[in-house]
Amino acid sequence: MIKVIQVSKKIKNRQILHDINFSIEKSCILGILGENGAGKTTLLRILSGLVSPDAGEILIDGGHIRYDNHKLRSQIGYMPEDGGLYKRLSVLDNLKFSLGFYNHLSNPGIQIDNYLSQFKLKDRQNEKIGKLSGGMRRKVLFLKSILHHPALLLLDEPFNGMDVESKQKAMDVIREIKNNRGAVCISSHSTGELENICDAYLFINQGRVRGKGSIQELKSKLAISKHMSLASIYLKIMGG
Amino acid sequence: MSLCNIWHIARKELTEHKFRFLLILISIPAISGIFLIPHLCGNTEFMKELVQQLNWLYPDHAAEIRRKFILVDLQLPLYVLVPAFASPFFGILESIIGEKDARTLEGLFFLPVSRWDILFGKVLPSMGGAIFVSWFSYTYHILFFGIFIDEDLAFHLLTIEWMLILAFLIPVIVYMIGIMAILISIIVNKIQTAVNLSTVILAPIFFMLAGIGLGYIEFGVYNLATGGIMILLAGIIITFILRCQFSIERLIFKLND
Repeated sequence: MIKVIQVSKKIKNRQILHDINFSIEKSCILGILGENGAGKTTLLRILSGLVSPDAGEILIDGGHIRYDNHKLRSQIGYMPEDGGLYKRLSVLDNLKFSLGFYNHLSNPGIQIDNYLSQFKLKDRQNEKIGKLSGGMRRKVLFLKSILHHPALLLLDEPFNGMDVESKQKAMDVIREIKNNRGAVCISSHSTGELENICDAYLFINQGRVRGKGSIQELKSKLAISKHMSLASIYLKIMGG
Repeated sequence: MSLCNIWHIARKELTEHKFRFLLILISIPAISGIFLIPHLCGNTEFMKELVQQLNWLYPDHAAEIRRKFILVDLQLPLYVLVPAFASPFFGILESIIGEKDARTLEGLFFLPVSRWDILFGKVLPSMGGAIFVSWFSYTYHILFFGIFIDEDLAFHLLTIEWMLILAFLIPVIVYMIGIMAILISIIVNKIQTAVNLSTVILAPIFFMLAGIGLGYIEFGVYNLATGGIMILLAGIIITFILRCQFSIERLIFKLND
């Protein structure tokens, strides 16, 4: 579904990504792991079409993100690491504003209502974003990225600040997208959050791919015990 | 480009900054109205004195009522044009730099809308507000002069020049000011720096307005129409330049070093 071919990006004379290659199939959840500043956010921004790579290509369902940007973006959901919500607008107005640009939805109001109830935000729907806690804002931002039923969901550190129940709920929604033949990319610097949800992993360090594959593939490649956790694999790959 | 998307973005701007828009719509005509209070408080005497002085300066000129017309021509451009020019500039600056600060531009640019939609969606509310303010000031002053000073003055202001100014020149200039504000927002990251830079840019415009207000710059249908068309052409060229620069990379990430 997504092919990333030889993607490189330089920001302010610093090479952020070097020759990144990987692909994600439909019904797959890919975890992108790496330390802070590894290039995960830049990679997600490039996948979302927000930023153009200096070299390489991104193909989504055969379409080129650089040329079919506008069309492809309506099929992508993106949750940035921070910001993304208008503090002076209410929860409902933020969601309605974002959803207003996706014309293919029937009964958007009912869908917003359902998700708000699921994430226990219904009684706070008229509150301004500026008055909500960090965790609540993350939930609203998560809802904003999934409301239009994207075929590709890009999540940048999605679980930061979410309570256990909301995190579980978010994981259920992510699995639902996967079951509907969608693809999901989740970036995180924490292995614990991704261990139970991802089908495959991409390890990035200093802008280079250090390892990729499912947990079983990685374990056999690294010749390590099958009982070892994702954190141990991470440390082994990153040289920790 | 989609009108529906532009309106959707403009409506979000209006909802998000409703107090700012209300403040502009209420305060600017009110502030310009303060200048009229002296006339309401018996300052028609001042007008009469000025008329006498003008008669003394130009003894062979026409009757007193013509002197009143001159005074109205001197005052009205400042009351109508200054609020119209001042109101969109800072509104647009705050709208874009505010989004940079709040890190919401990334989400806005990610939406399946074109850059044109975002650009016009940002300019439209401030532009609409400024045009409303200028029409409001004009009507308000016509009524004021007509009721409190001389009813002939009101008819004196209903000219083709003023119609041209209100219907063509002001929208064109306000649009130009709007896109200049967006250009500054791309370059600058802090609202204070943007305001300082804008003041430097706005100063010549204010001097020009003062020139109009003092009667140094003559109106005239031909001058107004030519000026308006030139500003419109410049605005179109700047819009296309702006469209190339108006990207998330320029606005936030500054990746093009």
